[in-house]
Amino acid sequence: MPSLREIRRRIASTKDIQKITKAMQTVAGVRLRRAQNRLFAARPYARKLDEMMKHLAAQTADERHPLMTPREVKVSALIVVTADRGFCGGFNSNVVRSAMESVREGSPKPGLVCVGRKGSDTLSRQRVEILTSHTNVFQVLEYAQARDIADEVTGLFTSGRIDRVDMLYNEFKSAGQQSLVTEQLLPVPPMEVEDDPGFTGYVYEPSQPLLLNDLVPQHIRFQLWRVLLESNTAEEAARMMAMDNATRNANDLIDELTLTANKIRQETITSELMDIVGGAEALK
Amino acid sequence: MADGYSLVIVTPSSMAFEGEARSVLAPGTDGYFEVLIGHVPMLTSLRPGILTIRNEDGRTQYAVSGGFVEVLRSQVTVLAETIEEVGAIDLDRARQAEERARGRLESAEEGVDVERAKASLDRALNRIRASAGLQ
Repeated sequence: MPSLREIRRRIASTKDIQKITKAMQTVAGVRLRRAQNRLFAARPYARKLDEMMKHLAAQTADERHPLMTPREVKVSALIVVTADRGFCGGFNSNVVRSAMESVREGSPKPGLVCVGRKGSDTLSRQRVEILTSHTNVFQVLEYAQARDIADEVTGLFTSGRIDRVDMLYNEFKSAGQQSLVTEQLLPVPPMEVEDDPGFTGYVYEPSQPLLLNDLVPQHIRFQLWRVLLESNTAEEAARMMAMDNATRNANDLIDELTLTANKIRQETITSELMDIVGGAEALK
Repeated sequence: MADGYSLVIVTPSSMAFEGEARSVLAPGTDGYFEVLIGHVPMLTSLRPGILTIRNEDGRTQYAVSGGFVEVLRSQVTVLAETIEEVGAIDLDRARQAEERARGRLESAEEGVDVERAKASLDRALNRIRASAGLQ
């Protein structure tokens, strides 16, 4: 049986931990809202870019852009998006586990492009081929970072060093739910071309193939940007959940410990009382 | 308004401008062009340069790093990669970016992506020029 003092000390330290988890939960909540706003802010751009791609793709359907042309996959790459920080439940380990699975089962085995410090730390200790690592991306997340990573893999694709690129990341479903998603980045999957009756056609300047040359890389950069935003939002949501759980667990623990402490206190009082009564009885 | 149209400028991270405009002067890949009301529907790409909007409030200039412009009958959309109002440019940061890009170009090591370095040098120089034009 632990002593009363020991239990009281544990209650105090659990309360301290609870304060920290509660603070982290609040911070994650604020960051979640900010991340969500950024995700929403990207939507108008996404819609417009998509429209333009579809219009152009429909007009230039007969000649495929090199970045949109599938070829035999000899070497593939997987972009693994994790967080830079921990304390977010299974967020990082889920991605890492799934990445390891793809490496084990993939044919050909993909080389990994790690985005986020956690994934890069864990995966670099495994026996996998890591093409490049990008860490400390999410502290200050800017479009330029997505652009650099996208241009890097696009470069690898164009030079023929890799034939296919997929992205593995956590998608933000709601504040309480994230789901692991794999999406193809390169070659750009074909667009569903739908007839837009209101669309009358543009004047293209410069010519359509030249425009597509600019538009396709931009589309790729933007896809990666969207994935980074998505993962960042999911990360904060996961952290908020994890910290909420931790705070609640701390509460349970405090309740339990308080109960034990009270029991011990009562027992001590009872036994002391018995001693006194017994002593008084003996004096008679 | 009879001589204006609605203009939207979006970037991957924000809605940079939403409102009426009488004219937009933009740096197209084939040279600067101006969009007034009644312009033929057009899709074009931009190179780094200065984008000028004229509306009732006067004239506003932005440094744009590239992107696309879509002109429809009553609606003009600019998809900019990044866009900054000329007065708000952080000159120090632009200079740092310039140095970095020059350093990468000069090192000429294996693995340096020359195209990318040139592109970022272009963007940095554009911002420096834009903000110098203001002073």
